[in-house]
Amino acid sequence: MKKITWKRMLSVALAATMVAGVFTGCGKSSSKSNDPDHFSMWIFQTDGAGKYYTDYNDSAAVQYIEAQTWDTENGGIGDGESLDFDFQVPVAGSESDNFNTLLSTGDYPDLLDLTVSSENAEALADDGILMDITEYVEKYMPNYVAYLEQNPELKMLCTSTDDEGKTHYYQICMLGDSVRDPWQGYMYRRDWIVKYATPTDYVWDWDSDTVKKNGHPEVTPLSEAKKQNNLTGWKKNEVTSFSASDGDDPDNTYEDNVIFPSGTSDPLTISDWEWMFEAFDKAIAERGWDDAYDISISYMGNSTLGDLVSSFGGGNGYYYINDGTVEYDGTSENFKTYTECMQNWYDQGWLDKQFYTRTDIFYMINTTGVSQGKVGLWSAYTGTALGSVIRDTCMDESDKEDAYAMAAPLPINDTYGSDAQKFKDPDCMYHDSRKAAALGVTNKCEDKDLATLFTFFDWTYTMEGALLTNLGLTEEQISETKLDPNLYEEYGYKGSYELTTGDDGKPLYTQLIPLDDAVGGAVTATRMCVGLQLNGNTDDYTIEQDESAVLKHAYELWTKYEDTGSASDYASLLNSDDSQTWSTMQTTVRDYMSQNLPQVIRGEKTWDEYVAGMEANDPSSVCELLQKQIDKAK
Amino acid sequence: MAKTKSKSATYNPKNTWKYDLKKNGVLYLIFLIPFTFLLIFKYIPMVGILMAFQDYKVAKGLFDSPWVGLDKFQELFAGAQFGYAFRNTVYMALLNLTLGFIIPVILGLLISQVRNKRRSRVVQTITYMPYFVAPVVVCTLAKEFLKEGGAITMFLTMFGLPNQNWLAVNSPVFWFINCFLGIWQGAGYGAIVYIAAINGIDQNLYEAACIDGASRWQRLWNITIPSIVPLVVMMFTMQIGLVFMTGFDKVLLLYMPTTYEFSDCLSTYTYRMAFSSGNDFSLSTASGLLQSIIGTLLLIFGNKMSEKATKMSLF
Repeated sequence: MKKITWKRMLSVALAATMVAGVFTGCGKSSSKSNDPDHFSMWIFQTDGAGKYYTDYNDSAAVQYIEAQTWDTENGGIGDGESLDFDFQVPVAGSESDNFNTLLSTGDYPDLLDLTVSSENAEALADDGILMDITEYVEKYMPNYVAYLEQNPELKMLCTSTDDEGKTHYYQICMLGDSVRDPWQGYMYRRDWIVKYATPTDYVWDWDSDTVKKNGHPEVTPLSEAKKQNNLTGWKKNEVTSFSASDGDDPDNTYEDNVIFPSGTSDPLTISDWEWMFEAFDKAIAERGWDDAYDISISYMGNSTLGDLVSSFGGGNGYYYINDGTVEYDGTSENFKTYTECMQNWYDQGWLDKQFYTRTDIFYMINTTGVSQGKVGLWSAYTGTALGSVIRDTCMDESDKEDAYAMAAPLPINDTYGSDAQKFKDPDCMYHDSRKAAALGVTNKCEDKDLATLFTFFDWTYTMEGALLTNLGLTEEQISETKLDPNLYEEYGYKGSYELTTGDDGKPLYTQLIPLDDAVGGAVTATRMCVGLQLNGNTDDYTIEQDESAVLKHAYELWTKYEDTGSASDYASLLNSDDSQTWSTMQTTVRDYMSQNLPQVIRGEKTWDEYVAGMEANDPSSVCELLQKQIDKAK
Repeated sequence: MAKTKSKSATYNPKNTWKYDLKKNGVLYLIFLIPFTFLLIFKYIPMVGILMAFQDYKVAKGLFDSPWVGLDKFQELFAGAQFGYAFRNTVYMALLNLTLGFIIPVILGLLISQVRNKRRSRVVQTITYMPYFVAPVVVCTLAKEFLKEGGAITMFLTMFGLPNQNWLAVNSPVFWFINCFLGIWQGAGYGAIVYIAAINGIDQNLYEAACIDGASRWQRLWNITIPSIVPLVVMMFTMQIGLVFMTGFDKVLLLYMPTTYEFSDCLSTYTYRMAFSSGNDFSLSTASGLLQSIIGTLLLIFGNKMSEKATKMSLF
């Protein structure tokens, strides 16, 4: 009997423990959340990733920020209150679900990273989730306001204007000091050019009056110039054979004497690219590969971001801002010329015959083929294939010795279409927006110490704050702070960067933690979504990163042309209803393009048939939605 | 006396719920677990159906989002790809319902005929193992085997078929690929229930038939198959209800834009419409509801047909 009683008591106790455990998270909020200087914050992701820390508070920069007090009167670090942050980070892969769940249950924190929000900040404010923070921004964030005033293109993306013309702030944006270096771009097998390309007997004469005046010879390409017997602007090529030398460290010391038909050491024109394809064909034929090819393109037949499409007179074959006017470019003459070029490349066997089946994203098309050394020219991440990286994975024995990839800028069309499509700089290409991220302040913190919070935010738009959030702590700052965990000590770094004066007399900030070392990210606070993003491509200072010579050269080539025609930034400004209309049309247009454009390129459908089908969807009908935003920004 | 008699006729303490609860309390307690599960995870979420008739905004939630009537259904039907997606769903469903359904039955019958129990178990294990392979792995393998120069493609060339990427062929061949992948993955697992039913058949029937001189085929035809018909009918009726809603993961992993005309199904079409350029939860709910309604109608229809044809039905 006693035994049974004990069993019952034990069962009840266990059940009570379980119930208590289940309800542990319910009830009143903690005393910490009632602290006016404590802010809970949802961030998209953390840089520690569990390797260096599990809590973003352990980031060296965040620890430093929390250790400071903020002067709300004069701005910056000074006498005042300190801040305490509590970060919530979703499980990787469920960021969007987590964000939407927080919003729909009303259980969202004080501050929200808006990266995955399907609604813009103004719409979230209309729904009562975000605060209209205009009053606080104007009072406590003079640096931020001034920066936006100096950069109206950013102000347009980060503010809203009401019917009376008054500016409203519903979000705080992380702002790039300049356009960030691209993380992807075109690359090609330079070693195959050295080995298999035949130097042309004539190249562009950049010292000739014709090329100086027009930027190109009277007639191009060379075959056409010879046919017309007009070599004005061409000169005899002094290079008769190509050779290369690796040096001690190929990624920094590689040299060769390659000269393209355009007379430059990097490819410049479409005819330069076609000259490369001939060399790639020889390389592939010698290796006897059936599954190798010269170049692939997106399975859709084009990149809606522009890129190669833009080489044929500009545009992106999608929604395009042409001299301030939004137009649908997918049926334009420029785009038609692009498809004609792709058709020719397909017919010549230069374009991957299976391109329409490779459904990977545009910078990851057939990564296996690229790393095996079976592709001549491709688009990829900077680190994955540039320089000598692929030597370890190449299939061919000789390639293991000397494979070398260099960056190619977008080409300029000198071959296809009419004059209107020739010798025009590309104007649409992938690039990171200078509005790098955005933070929303929710109605949960209406009664909190927003003066101190916004004072801190503003400090991140000063050089002092931006250096800390972007690069981490200096040696001096580290000595003032008791870090726990101390990643610097653990990994043997004395500081994140040092300041010197560069050869050009500009301040030079040299990163001391290499970019390829993830500790670099773990000591910064860029995930807080505020502040200046220091990309360093400015006239005021330089950020020296630990980059190889081949990568630096790639950045120069990939940023050679300016993106002025992309319309995607403006889509983020659309209100909820317009955004829905825009999204539906985008899906329709993309569906149609991806099914039919490859058929045009493969010669299974005519251009006119393609255009007729596309126009039935009336893609131009949504142009006015974006036009309104552009006009408003003016 | 009459009064007492009347009372005893209407009141029997064994007929009360209290008596029932006392007697079967443990059973009710056990029942409470699946009941709670179904209530919380199946019935309460049905409130979400309301989203199909709203312009649902995450920030406003289910009860404050504006009502739009049947607009989302209209948007769904108006899409340029809807016709193709609907047709493909129907054809893929028909293939799954015929080939996809009958093969596990045949496999179950075949395995049950293997005399050596050890071999029977080995075959059964081998055939149901693919069920536990993730669809993404199955589809990756399919892509490798069916690409130009892939193992299956090269095998097919022996029969005069072209060496091509079969998944890139814009023709009904996609329906068959999808169906056969489903069969490869699910036939072994689906056969288990039939093998179990066959093992449960009274062995005396077989012995009697043997004594009467029935051949192996006659025993199968006259004893085994009639014995499992009720189960087959039940499984078929249940399958009808689900057939319209399956296939999303495999189709999404296998299809490509150039084959949308024959590969797109309602689920993938909705996925693109609702989530490729934004998050339209209402459209997605409308599509899910549409498929549920069609599934329910098919279930009722299948049940009626079964009742008429075989005198057996689920309800």
